[in-house]
Amino acid sequence: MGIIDKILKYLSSFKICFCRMPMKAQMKVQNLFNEEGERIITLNTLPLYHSGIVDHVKALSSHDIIAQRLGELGFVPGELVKVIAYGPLGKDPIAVEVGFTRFALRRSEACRVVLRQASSCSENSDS
Amino acid sequence: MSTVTVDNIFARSLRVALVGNPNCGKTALFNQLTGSRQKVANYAGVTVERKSGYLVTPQGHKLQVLDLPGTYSLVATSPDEAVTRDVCMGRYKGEPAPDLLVCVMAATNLRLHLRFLLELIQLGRPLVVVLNMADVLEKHGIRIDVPRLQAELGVPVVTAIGVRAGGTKNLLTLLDAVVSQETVLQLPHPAMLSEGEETAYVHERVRQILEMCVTHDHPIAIKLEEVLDRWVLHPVWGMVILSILLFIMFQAVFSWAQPFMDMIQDLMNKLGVLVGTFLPEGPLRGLIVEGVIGGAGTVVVFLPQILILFLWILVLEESGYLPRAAFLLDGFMAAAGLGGRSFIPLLSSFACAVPGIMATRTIQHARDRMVTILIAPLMTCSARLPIYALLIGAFVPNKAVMGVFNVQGLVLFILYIAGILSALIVARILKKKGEEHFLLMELPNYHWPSLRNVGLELWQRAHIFLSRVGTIIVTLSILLWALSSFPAPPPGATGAALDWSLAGRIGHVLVPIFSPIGFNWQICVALIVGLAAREVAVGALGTVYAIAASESDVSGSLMPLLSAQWGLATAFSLLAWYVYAPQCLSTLAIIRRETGSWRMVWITMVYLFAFAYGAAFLTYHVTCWLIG
Repeated sequence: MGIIDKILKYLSSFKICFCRMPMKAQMKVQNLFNEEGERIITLNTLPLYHSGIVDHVKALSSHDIIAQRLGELGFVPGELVKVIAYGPLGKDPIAVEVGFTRFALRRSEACRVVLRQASSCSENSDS
Repeated sequence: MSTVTVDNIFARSLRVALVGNPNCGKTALFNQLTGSRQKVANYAGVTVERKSGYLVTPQGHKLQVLDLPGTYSLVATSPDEAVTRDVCMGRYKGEPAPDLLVCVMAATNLRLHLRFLLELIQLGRPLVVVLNMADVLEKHGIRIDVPRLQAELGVPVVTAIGVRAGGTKNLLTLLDAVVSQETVLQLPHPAMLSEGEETAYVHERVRQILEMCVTHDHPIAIKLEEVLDRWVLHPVWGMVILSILLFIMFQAVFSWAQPFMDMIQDLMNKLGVLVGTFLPEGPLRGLIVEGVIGGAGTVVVFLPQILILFLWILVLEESGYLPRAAFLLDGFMAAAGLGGRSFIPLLSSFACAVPGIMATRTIQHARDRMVTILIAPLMTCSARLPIYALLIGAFVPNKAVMGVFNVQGLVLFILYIAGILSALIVARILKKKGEEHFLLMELPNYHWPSLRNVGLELWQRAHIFLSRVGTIIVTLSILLWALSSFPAPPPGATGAALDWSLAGRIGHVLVPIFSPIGFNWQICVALIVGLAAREVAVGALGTVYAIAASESDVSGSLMPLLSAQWGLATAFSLLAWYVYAPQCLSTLAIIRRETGSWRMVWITMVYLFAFAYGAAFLTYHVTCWLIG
């Protein structure tokens, strides 16, 4: 196990960052606010390695099976969501972490998840 | 509170159903419980795989075990989730309600898995809970208060290690206690809630239970997923890793399998010769040697490819990589209206459509799976290469264009591209408009693949292929042998015996249908005989043109003959035909087996035939017009 841990440590020491663009270009400014007046953002616009807290999941239709499934998978109010990867083509789909689980979803699906308190940057957990 | 007694347990064995989220290690647990006493079939009327088996408890009770498809919720979004829901509720037609539900949860991911358990408890059926993967808890620094959890849930809870021999001891003891009625199961009492309240209630409850029963000793130093995913899911490095893995897979299926396939073919030929020496000359010898042994040969020759491909896919799936590959490829496949999971089956279809279609099992979305099965035969398989090589060698000049390209190579490339483009077009046409089709999938934690699980699964694949598909192929090849052997030519007749047979006559009858695309009667006969396998067509042409050369050199002797006898238009037309080539019995047999319906077989045949005919027609007339 010692060797594997060492390899992991070595791998994690790399900062793979050339895919990241300057902050301003990434962040689409959305002037949306929830009922309490907090700034909100939808998951599909959350930049890479940033995280937010789920405010709610909004259903796009009366029988929105995707919204339902998102709730079942743990996208529930109060949970922390972090974007961990973008797909190679058109940055779609995205990979996110919720609780201890990672999910892949398309941006068209992610737009149902409404977040608040988008943190500035929660990357570099190793530093 | 009512209690449940398990009635008539002596009359029949108790039916137990394993149910749980995907990635909870349910199948590993099932394998551990039942070992090789398993049966794989389909649920009636759907293409969902039904895995069942039986186990004998330490006290000697025999139990039937059903491994239900993994699901996140009883609100089903796919056919396999619907099967799980209906069986759990005891309303699946032809499937008796299970006497006991065993809910399997990954102990390391209770936050996600508890929600489904609470939903199951609401059903009010006899239920026990297994905390699987208990061995990794300590490594993750998690402690679970099992007695407390049991008290909170109101149902028995045991821990298990699905991947370790003896890891199911607690569960077996509990099952014994249930059967011998030492443990009287309290029927869980569902909370009376309206639909809106329910979601909020369940999540609140999950939070409460986690708070009471689970403690985190220390945060994990470095999370494996955190580090690996940074590389594996990276837009550049991730694609590099994926390309390397796919390249090795393709190489393995395409060329590493070849020596084994040659060996099997050689062995079957030798067996045929050997058996032939013991039988008198005549129809019986023909039937045994050419029909039965030859037919069985076409079946087992696929095994190396199937085993290698599935070994690869199973290791990728078990290790948790496959969903990540699907994540990377989703954007590309979305252009064809498919999901990322369709990529590997389609790629393997370049070697052979049979293993490719078998690999579509990894596609969860039912419609995607159907479309992938339909377009898999359009990927140019290796069996088409002999006929391409023959025709291109005979008709296309071997010279360079624009300095670097070879015309022959260019034509071969065009044939491959034509197949891929047609597949794209078909997939786009079949994509239903407005149908919401989602990706949303879990990227499970990385695991070392378990040798036992992979081995068991491989054995099942081989078994299914040989027993179900093999019988269809052998039957059809016997039929084909009869068609091309009877009636025998009259004494003193000239020409090939094949020409006098029923197959030959059918070939002649078909000429009016195929003459608009430039096919002569020799080609028609070869097409009929070539039903057995595409590469057989070359040998059949040799027979029709009465080439007396040894088997290995048929192609070499045919080339000058064909270039002298056929027009360029006919040759190109046949090439275009073979891009679609509907005549491959093995492919049709595997489609029948995998979809469970003859309807899909007919659809595949008709549409491939239409495409082949259309393309050949166009090619023939355009070439005729161009060369005047």
